[in-house]
Amino acid sequence: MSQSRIIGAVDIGASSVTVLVGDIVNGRSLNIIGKQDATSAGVKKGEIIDFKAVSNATHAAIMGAEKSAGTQVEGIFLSQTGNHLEGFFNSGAVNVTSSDNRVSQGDINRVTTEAKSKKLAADRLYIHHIRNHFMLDGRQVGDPLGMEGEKLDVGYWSVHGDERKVRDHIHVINGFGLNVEDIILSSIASGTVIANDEEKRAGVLVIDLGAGATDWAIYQNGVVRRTGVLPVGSDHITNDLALGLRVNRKYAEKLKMTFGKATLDSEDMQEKVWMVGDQMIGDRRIPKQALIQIIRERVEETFELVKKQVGEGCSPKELPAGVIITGGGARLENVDLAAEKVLGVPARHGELPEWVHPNLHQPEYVTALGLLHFALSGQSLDDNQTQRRERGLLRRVSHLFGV
Amino acid sequence: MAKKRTKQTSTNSTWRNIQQSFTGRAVTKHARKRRWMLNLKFVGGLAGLALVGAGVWAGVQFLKSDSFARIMAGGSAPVRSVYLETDGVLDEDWLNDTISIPNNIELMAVDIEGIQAVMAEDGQVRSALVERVFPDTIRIRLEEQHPVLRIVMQDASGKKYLRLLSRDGEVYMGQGYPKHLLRNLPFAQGVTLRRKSGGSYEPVEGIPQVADFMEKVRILMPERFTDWKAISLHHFDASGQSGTSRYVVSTRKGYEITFSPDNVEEQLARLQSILSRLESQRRRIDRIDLSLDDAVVKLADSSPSHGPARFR
Repeated sequence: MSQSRIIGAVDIGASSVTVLVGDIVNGRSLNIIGKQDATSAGVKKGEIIDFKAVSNATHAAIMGAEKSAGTQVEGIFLSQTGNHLEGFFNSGAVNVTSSDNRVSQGDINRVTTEAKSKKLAADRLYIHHIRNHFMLDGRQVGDPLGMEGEKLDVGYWSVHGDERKVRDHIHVINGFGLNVEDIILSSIASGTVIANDEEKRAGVLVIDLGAGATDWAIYQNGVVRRTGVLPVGSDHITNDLALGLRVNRKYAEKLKMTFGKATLDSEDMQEKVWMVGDQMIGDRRIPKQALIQIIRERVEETFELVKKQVGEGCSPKELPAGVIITGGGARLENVDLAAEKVLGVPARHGELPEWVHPNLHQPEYVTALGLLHFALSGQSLDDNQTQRRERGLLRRVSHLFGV
Repeated sequence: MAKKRTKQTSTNSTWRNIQQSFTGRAVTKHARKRRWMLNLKFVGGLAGLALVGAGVWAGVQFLKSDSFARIMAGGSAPVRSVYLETDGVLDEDWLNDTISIPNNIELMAVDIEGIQAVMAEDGQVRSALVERVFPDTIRIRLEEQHPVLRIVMQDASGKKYLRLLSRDGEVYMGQGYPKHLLRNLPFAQGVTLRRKSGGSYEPVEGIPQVADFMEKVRILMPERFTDWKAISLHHFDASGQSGTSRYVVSTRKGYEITFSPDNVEEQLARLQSILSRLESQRRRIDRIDLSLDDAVVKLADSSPSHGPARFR
């Protein structure tokens, strides 16, 4: 008899809350059976500033997704972003203890524990320990168990966040009567589906341009090397337009979506666009050049900040597969060209794999799709964590009653 | 005043250690709606289970009920006939005297449990089963007591009346038996009766052994058994503990025969031998005691030699 788990992927952004519902059959196949977006409120720069407003938006989105799926979600995979997230690289090294110099499970346990043993401040907690490759006497190895060597090294990219802010995110979901089964960084969730294995092996930078924050992740040798979050997003472009053009946010957003570009072309110099578009009283013409220049400044500034955070790793040598841009901000025309210009690395818009239904081929769904990918693979980023819940008799009976 | 944080730094401080709880009040209307729906589903599930259980129970009860039997039999009609099946002698006259079923009463309206109870009160009825045979018949099946002895009783006024003893030791009036059957039943003597609260008597102990004894005599010496007038159980011990337990049989020819409850066949063989020899000698007998190892015969005074004689 096939076993089915209904998982919800929740991406709480500054502009919208996206929920996808996936039916994972026998842990092997994923059917996306429901989706819902809701206008977000109470989120600023990826962090919750109004718990009730966020709860309202998120609960409405989950309820809508459940309704469209025709079933109830059993657990939630939740994305996490925000300026409070930080990361560091920590490594551990041990001498192989056995007389024949073969690596035992005990050696592996000791080195991984040591590499993850760095203490955090009292108000911080770990989100991920992302393991890089083992090194045995300087050689990179996948699984060192049973291999011969003297010194075993391993490194972890550890991501940690503010405990209160993470709790707030979890409690939003708990408030709907659901359990958070795993938390995945937005940049990692997006990168999982937007970059293919070959690009991850070669080296690629994934930039998720959100409304309130910009998340990035660097993949090298098939694993996540580094991650980062900037408290700048496409909402800032809207704000800049509203201030610079002296229009309200509503029209600024409309102008951005309709005429916005990240680069200025010669044909845009003389063109003027209508602010509202109905050419009635109150409507006025705005130079397109001014519009694009404001956007370009903010976009380039954002990529400059990314470049600064990434540091020396932002070079064609380190990133042979270039830069992939995704998220709602990736809808902006020529944003890839702007990225390429600032970062000095070939950039392109991210494209979802073919298995994703055409209805979901929108940059806004990339993070949620990545979350479902993690739910399907059944593997947590943390190598010592298991995320599967037991399916006991009581749980089955409860499920029978829809509880 | 702000609460002082006491948490220590720790290497295993991960988000997974955060307690996830759903017990608080729902913050949003969507959460409240969902919680309400879940509770409703849970209660609905329980109610559904309860309904299924109640349905199964009701179904079983219905299958066991008269209504189901009536439906299966095509419905109920006024009672047209009453069948009496018995292994004894009770007949329709007795039935009419014992119960009364109103004319044109619906079969389902007949109180078969009441009829059964009335019949069971009759001492001659060992068991009674009353059934409805749809659409219009009542069938009564009886198991009757079968008499093995007669007993003469006397009330406080000195009036004597006859009762029967069944193989079970039940004392009952007995009706419908052929006269010759009753005439051939020996009387029981030396029996102690104990009254029950309803006026009837407790079963007499030991009658099954006596009945077995009489059955053997009836089979092995049928012509002699017809001479037996009474059996005294005065010295009979039903428990079998006493070594001096005896049946004392009075015959119509005037002599008494004493039997031990043990080795009845052997005693009967000796009795047959003694009686044959003495009858051929035309001797009159007063008493024969077969309970001893050597049978003792006391001849009547008019016999040529009337002293006790021993027979082996």
